[in-house]
Amino acid sequence: MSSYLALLMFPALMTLIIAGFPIAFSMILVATGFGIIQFGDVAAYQLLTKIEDTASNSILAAVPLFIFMGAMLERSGIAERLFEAIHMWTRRLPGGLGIGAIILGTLFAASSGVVGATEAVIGMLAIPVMLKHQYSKSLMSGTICASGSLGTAIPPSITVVVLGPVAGVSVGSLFSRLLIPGFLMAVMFLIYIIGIAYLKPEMAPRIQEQEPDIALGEKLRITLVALVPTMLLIFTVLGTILLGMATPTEAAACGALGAIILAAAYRNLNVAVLWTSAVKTVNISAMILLIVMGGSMFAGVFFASGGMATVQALLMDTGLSPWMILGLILLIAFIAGFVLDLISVVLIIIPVAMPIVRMLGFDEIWFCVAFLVVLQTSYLTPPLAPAIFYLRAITPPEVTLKHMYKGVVPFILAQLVVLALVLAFPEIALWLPDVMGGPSWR
Amino acid sequence: MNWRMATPWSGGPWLERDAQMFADRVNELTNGKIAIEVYPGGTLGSALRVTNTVKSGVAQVSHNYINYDYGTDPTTALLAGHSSGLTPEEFMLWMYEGGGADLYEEYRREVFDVVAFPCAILGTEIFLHSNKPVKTLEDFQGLRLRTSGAWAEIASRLGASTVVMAGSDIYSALERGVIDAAEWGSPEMNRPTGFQEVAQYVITPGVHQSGGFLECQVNSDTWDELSEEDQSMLRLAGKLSVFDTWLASSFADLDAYQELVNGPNEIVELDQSFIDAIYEETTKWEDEYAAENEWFARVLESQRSFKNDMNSWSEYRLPIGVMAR
Amino acid sequence: MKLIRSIEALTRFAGWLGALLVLPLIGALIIEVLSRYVAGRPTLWAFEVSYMVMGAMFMLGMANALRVGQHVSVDIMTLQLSQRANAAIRTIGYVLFLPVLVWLVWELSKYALSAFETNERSGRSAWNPVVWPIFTVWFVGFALLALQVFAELLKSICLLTGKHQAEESAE
Ligand code: NA
Ligand code: NA
Repeated sequence: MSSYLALLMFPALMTLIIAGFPIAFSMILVATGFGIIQFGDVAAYQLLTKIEDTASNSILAAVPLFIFMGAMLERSGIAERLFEAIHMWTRRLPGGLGIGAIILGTLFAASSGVVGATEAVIGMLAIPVMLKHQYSKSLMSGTICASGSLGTAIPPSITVVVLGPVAGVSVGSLFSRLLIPGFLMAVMFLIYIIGIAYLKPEMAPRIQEQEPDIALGEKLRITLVALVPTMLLIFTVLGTILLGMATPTEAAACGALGAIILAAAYRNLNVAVLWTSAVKTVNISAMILLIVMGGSMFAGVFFASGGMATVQALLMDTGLSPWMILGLILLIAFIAGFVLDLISVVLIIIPVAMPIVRMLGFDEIWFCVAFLVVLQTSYLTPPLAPAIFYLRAITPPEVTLKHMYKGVVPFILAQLVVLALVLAFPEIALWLPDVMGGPSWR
Repeated sequence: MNWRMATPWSGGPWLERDAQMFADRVNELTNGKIAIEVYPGGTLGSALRVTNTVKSGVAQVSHNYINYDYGTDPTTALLAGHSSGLTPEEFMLWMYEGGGADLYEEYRREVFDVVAFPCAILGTEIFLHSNKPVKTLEDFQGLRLRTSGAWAEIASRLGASTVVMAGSDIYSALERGVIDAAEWGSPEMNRPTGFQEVAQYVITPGVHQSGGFLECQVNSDTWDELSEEDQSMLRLAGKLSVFDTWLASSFADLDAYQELVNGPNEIVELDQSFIDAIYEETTKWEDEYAAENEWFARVLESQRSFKNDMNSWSEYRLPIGVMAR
Repeated sequence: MKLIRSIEALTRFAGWLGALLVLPLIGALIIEVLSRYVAGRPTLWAFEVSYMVMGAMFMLGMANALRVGQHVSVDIMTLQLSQRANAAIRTIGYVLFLPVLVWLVWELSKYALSAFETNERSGRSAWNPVVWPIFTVWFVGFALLALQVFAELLKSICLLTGKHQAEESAE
C-alpha cells in the first residue's frame, strides 16, 4: 500500500463526523478499516493494545475522579452557591464570572495531566451560573475551552514533564522558559474577556436592575457560607499536590471525597445525590475515555501504515528551508492534536521531530515552547477540537456547536499571537534565566 | 525487505542512537537487503508490550528491554541486569564468552516464541536521586522510594517503602516530597529527567542495576524464512551495536556524571556494609525464585559460575579509570 | 420492541455497576495517601487498583453512555436534515460499525482467554496481580457496546420504516 493512502484517513474521518456519527465511533471505524487494508487481521492486535493502553492508564484515573467532584458539587447545589458568591463580589467587574472560570480552570488543568477532565469540572461548576446570568453562550463556551487549554503550558503541567525527557531537554528549564509565554496567554485571555464585557455588556451582563445592593454584613455571611468552604476544597486539591502529599490522581480522589464531605456539611448529601452523580460520572468518563481511545487507535494505524514514513519524507525533503521544515513540524503537531490527547502527541511526534530540530540548529527549548503553544491551540481549534467535544457533553442543548465554534475564535487568535511572538522573538521564551525558582538547597 | 521495528522508546539515546544504529548496521551488513524503519514507542503497539507486537507480526523486529516482560517471568530480570548483578564489561564477557547469548536466545524462543539477541549495553545506573542522604541500611529504612520490577521487591525486603506511580509523576513527586527518592537510569539517561534539579543528593554506585542489556527481537516466522547468512548478519549487527553502544554510552555517562560532580548536587557514596547487605538479600531472593522456576535457576547458575570464574580478574587486570591521577 | 428493551435493561444495569465503582476508586487512592503520609507505609496495591477500577468503569459505562446519547457527535448537518434522513445515515454508520465491534469482541475474548491460560501478570508493581479478570471486564464492556449498537440500529431501522413506537423505549 502506498504510504500516501494513510493520508486518506483524514478525509474519511471528516466525512463520518460531519455526517453526524459519534466522534469516537468514527475514529474507531476509520482506524479499523485502514488497519485491515494495511495489516490484514493482525490489525486486531494493534487495536487491542490501544484498548489496553487506555483502559489501564493510571493517569486517566483522574478523569472519573474530577468529574465526580464536579458532579457532586453541581448536584448538591454547592457549585451554584460558589459562583453566585463570586458573582456577588465581581459583578461590578466586567466579565467577573469568566475571569473566575479562567483562573480556576488554569489552576486545575495545570496540576492534572488530563486537561479534558478539568475542563469538564470547571464547565459543570460555572456553566449553570453563567447561563443564569445571561452570559453570551459563545463567550461562555470559549472561556471554558480556553481555561482547560491553558494548563498545558503552565507549571506543574504533566505534559511538560513528559516532554522534557522525550525531547532530551531539562524539565526545569522548560518550566522557566514557559512562564512568560504562558503568562502572556493568560493575560491576553483575561484582557479579551474584560474588554468584550466592557465593550459589549450584553455578552457578560454585570448589574441587574432587579438585584438590589446587598448589605456588607449579609455579603460577608453569604461569602463565609458559600465561598470559603468550596474554595478550601479546591485548595485542598491543589494544596495536596503542591505540598507533596499526593500525586495529581490522588489529589483528585481527595477532592472527590472532599465534595462528599462538603455536601454532607451543607446537609445536601443523600443517596439520590450520590447516585445521580456517580451515574453521570460514569457516562461522561466513558465518553471522554472512548474519544481518547479512538484517537490513539486512529493515530496508531495512521503512523504504522506509512504515515510516519510520509511525515519523515516530507521533513527530510532537501528542497525545504529550515524555517519551512520547522513550520511543517508545527503543522503536523497541530493536526495530530485534532485526534490525540496532548501527551500522546508529544510521545509520537517529538521522537521524530527532535533529531531534525537539532540537525537544523534551532534552540531545542525554544522549539519545545513553540510546540506546546501549538498543541494548546490545536486542542481548541475546530473542526476537530477535543476542548469543544468535552464541553458539548456537559452543556445543555440550547448551547449549540455553533456557539462553541464562534466562541473559541478570539482565544485561538490570542494563542496564535503568542505563537508568532515566540517564533519571531525567541527572547520571550529564553529571556528568563534558568535559575528562576531554583531548588532551596542551592 | 522492509521491516518495521517496534520500540518502547519515545526519544532519547536508546531510540535515536542505539535502535537506529542497529537498523543501519543491518542495512550495511545485508547490502541493503533488509531495510528497517524505527518506530517510536506506542506507534505500532503498546510501548511496554513490544514482545507481543513482534509476536503478532505487526512489527518484524524490535529494540526492547527484556525487563518489560518481568510480569510474565522473573527470569527476565537476570537477563536485563539486576541487583548485585554483572557490570557492563562482565555482562559482555558472559554474553559472548560465557554462553549467555545462547541461553538468551533459547530462553526467548522457548518461553516467548521470538528470536532475540543482545543489541545494546546499559551502563551502571545512579543508585538514587534523593531528598535524603542514604549511606547505610539504616538510612534506607522507610525511605519512600519510587522504583519498579525486581528491585522493588528486593528494596521492600531491605526496608524501603517502595511507592508505585506513573513515570510522568516522578518529577513532581520528588520535587514536592511525595517520595523521598527515585531511581531511573544511568547518568546520561537521567540528565533530561531533571531529577537532579529537584533532589539534592545523588547516591552512587548503582548496585541495584550495575549493568544491563537491551535486546533486538525478530518475529519467529520472519526469522525462519531468512537465509542462514542473513540470520548470522542480524546477530552480528547486534554484537557490533553492543560494542558501539558501550563506547558511546560509556563516554556520554562520564560526561553527564562529571556535570553532576561540578554542579550543585551532593554526591553520596554507599557504605560497603550496605552494599553487602543488598548482596545478601539479593542472593536470598534469587534462591527463592530459582527453587520454583527452572529457567530462572538455569540462568542464575550460569551467571553465578561465571562470577566465580571472574574471581581472579582483579589480581592481574587494573580496574577501568584507575590510572587517573 | 421487546429485544431493544431487554438490551437496554442490560446496558443500564452495566452502567449502574460502573457507578458503584466510583466509591472504591476514591477509597483506594485515599487509603494510599493516608498509609503513605500518615503511616509511612505505602500500599502495594492502590496504584494498580486505581487504573483497573478506572478501566472497568470506562468499559462498563460505554454502552450505557450510548443509550443515553452521551457520545458526542457533530450536529451541524444533522440539524438541517429530516428525521428520516438522519435515521438513514445512522443506519449506514451502525451497519458499518457493528462488524468492527463484533470482531473486537471476538479478539478480546481470545486476549482474555490467553491471559488466563498463561496466568499473565501485570508486572507493574510488587503486588503483580493476574490480568485476566480486567481483560474479561473489557471483553464484557465491548460485548455490551456491540449489543447497544445493535439496539440503536434496530431503532433507526424502525424509524426508517415508520415504526415510531420504538422511540419510546429510549429515555
Ligand atoms: Na483542533
Ligand atoms: Na532503573
